[in-house]
Amino acid sequence: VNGPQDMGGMMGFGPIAPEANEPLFHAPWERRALAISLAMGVTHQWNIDMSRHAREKIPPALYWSLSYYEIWMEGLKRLLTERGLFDAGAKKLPVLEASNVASVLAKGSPYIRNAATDPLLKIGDRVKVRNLHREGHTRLPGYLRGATGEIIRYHRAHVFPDAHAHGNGENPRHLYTLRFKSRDVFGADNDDELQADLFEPYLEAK
Amino acid sequence: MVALFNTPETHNMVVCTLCSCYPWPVLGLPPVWYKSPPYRSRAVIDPRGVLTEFGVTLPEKTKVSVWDSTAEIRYLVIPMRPANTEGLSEDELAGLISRDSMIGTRLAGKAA
Repeated sequence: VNGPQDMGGMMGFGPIAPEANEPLFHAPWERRALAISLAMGVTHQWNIDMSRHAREKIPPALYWSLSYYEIWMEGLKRLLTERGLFDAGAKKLPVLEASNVASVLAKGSPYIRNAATDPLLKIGDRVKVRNLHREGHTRLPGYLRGATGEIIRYHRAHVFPDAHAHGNGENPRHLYTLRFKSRDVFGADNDDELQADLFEPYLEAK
Repeated sequence: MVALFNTPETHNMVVCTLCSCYPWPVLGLPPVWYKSPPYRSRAVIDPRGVLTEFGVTLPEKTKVSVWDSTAEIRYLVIPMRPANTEGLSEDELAGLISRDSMIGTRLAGKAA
């Protein structure tokens, strides 16, 4: 979706202001917000792409007024509401016990899958990014639409977020790293480069 | 995870413009600035301006190479080894490395 999350290349957000000796959390509720998000994640009522999409659907004016963990809580609120899970008795869900948190976090979750078809593109190919404006979830950043780049890495097939976020299965697609010239994408007057990891359906051969 | 090695020719910098993808297993939770609109918006269009805010000025001939973590591949920058560190132990070398140097927004520290 052309939402507030897709901010690569935008201007006017002000200085970056890194904080020296930054604490891990800036308030006790932030620690709790992270814990609640992770605990709800392991109940498998949704997947990572659905939770990202829930945040992307927050109206832009609201999204940009919220802090990071506020965005997480707003997204979570929407996921719970959509599924009728706010009622404590609604459904019995698996519980993430405190003693299991470390092992769950350490385990991670791989997204590499076998694809039904062979890759259409290969390292060294010059390819063009399609001019896609999906209403649903996508991992194609807007600033790369229409740009031409070179494939520099092939990562095999991965779970395709554009399908996975909408309950349409994992639908694995081939994943490539593309290299672009900043000159071509943003009109830079130097030789700087940009790389992004893009799925095959976002690309067309030149 | 992919390691990106900085060289005199290329300085690497990692961002996630779409959310906050970050190498958690190695670097832990990302700092607030990494997840916030100023960095996410500017890292791709103005990486040298971003580096200036972190106090980093690169030689003009050094190319800046920005990696937008748009899928589930995670990136970690390996900073360039500072000058005059040949005799340092592993612990002393580790002391020159910061979290930000592994995101690519700072350089490794100078040898004492």
